Amino acid sequence: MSQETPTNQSSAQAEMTEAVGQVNRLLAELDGMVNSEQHAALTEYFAELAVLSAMRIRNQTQPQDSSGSDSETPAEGVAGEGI
Amino acid sequence: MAIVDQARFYETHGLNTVEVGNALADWFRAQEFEWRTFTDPTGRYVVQVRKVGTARSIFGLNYALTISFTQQAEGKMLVELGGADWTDKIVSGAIGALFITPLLFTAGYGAWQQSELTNQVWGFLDSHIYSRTGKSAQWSLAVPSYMGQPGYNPNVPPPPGNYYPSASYAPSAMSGFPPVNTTATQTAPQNPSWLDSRTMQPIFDQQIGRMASWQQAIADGKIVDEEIADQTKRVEELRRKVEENLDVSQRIKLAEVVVAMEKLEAAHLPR
Repeated sequence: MSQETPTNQSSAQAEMTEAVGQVNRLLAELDGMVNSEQHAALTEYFAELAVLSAMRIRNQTQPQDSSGSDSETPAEGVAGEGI
Repeated sequence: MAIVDQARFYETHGLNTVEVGNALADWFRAQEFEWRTFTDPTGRYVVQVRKVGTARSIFGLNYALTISFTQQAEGKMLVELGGADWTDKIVSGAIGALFITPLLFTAGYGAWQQSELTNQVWGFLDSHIYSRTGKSAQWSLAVPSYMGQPGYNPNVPPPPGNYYPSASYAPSAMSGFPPVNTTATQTAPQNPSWLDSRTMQPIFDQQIGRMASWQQAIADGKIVDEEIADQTKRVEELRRKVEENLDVSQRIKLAEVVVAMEKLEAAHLPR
């Protein structure tokens, strides 16, 4: 297992924090620009986009011979940490 | 009354909010302040610091500051300063006057020290920007407005409370450049928020496990390329339908959101 240095971890954390903040800020801006009908359509789109993102992360991080033991759990770090 | 009395637009020459905020937090830490940092739902990077102690509490000498950093257009950054326990200091001063007159002066001294602290923060930011970029810090005053009037709502706490969702900024009196209005008052009916008020995260991420598309794809315990391709088609089709009902500015903003989400996704991937 590779070990990250504290500096790398701090840098990654800062990058993550900034990315989360950027997504939240832009979402809030877009939210303020759309009506309820557009909002509903965007909500559906973002939900499926989040699934796609989770799939890509899972695909990149899953073991090659996954046993399926955690089949109901999205990729780690996806839910609760932004996309 | 000047509680959140100071806000400035800085020309940061490429520095970002997290980098500047963390440098400021380190500076406070070196002075033995308690501190914490976080990103609020509007994307502001917030640094909160305080210096407390029993003796300080008795004598009204607690200091606390909230400093928020908001990225603006054209490489500018909005920096807001607010004292988090200014009211406590006033109360402490009043009680001191009832019992021991000198306490009034210590509380006043604490308030003065806090105001000095804000000056030190501006001084730090000036020097930090210069030391990191080699360019002198340029700034102009940020003038807030509330309900169409300059100033802050005195009945609402300073940031990061609920003040800013209803606020907007008037053009700066000194420079004339307005910030990006990220918190404009909404005239449309309130939509269900895309951000979870408890976790401050987009709600979509919390719903992934319940989505049929996810459950179907993960049923065998793994995600294969074909499933990603199918989901990509589904997302692209939704994107087309969504964009049919958006105007140009909305499409541009949506594109910005998607790019930011992809960047966040990339941050999750192994390197």
